[in-house]
Amino acid sequence: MKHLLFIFLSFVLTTTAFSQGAIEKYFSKYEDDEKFSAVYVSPKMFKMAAKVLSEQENQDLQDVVKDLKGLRILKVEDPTGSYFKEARSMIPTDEYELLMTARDEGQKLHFLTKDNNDVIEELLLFVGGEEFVVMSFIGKIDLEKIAKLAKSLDIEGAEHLGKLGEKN
Amino acid sequence: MRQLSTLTLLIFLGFNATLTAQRSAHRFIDHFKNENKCIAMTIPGYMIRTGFNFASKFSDDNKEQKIYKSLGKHFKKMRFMVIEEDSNITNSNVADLLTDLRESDRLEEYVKVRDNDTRVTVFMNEADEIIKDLVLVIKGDEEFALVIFKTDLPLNLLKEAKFSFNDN
Repeated sequence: MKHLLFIFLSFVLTTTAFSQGAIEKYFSKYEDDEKFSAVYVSPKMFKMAAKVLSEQENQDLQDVVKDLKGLRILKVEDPTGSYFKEARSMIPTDEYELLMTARDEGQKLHFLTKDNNDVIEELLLFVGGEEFVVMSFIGKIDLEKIAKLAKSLDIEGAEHLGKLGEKN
Repeated sequence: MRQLSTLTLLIFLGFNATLTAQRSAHRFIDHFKNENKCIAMTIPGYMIRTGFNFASKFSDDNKEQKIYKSLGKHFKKMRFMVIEEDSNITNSNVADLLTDLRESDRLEEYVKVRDNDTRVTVFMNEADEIIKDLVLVIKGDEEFALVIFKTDLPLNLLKEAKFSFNDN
């Protein structure tokens, strides 16, 4: 009985660790690759930004920043679309739900979310086209509010977040 | 008596760990400061204050002048090193420095950005809403810069500065 329990626990732990690692693994694989541009914003930075943004700022923006725990971005030239395909194939479909797909001026947009009890814990945005961009937002995510980040984030590809607002 | 020795040892180890991070950045400067085309400098707090006071003279806005002056009071020391070209600093040297800084108890990695050959990493030590240390590591293809600030900069002041500068 103990052995069975041990095997079951090992299986659960291994599966969880493996699926959590898929995105991490993708970012680790390419964040030091010179072909890629990479951005990482730590939870501490978001915490500090939330303190520095005062009541005078847009309340939604403050709410989004307060609940964000991290942001990772990778960007690369991808004329053949191979990076887009590779990244999409690495996403564990049992864990991430495809929220929305869109086409915009020759670019493919895929939004995926990872939920826990109806709370979105991670939002992934894949942009495919001449350039491939992947963004991972981690935290407690409100889609309507994060759509408003589109204007505030001065990062190529972030403008697509506005599509989330159009959906809701 | 034995408990007292253990406590002393723990305090010593803790104190040592907090110094390690800053020391590794300073050690890095000490090691490379005699390189060809290297500028290394330590600027004391009173000179930084003078610089901020001087900068405030260029502003017509009283509020902005005050903020410049108060910002200057919170920078205790700045040490930097810049190597412009033909730097002997390898990617491996920088990777070791970044690992040392990341592994320190005192500093935390806040933001990391890489675009083409340029990498910028920002480390901070913030406690009780006061930024105590700020370390910037910038590595280009041939250039390298390491900047260390010792401060007691309150986040509230950054908030004020942000709005004052945004208004203008």
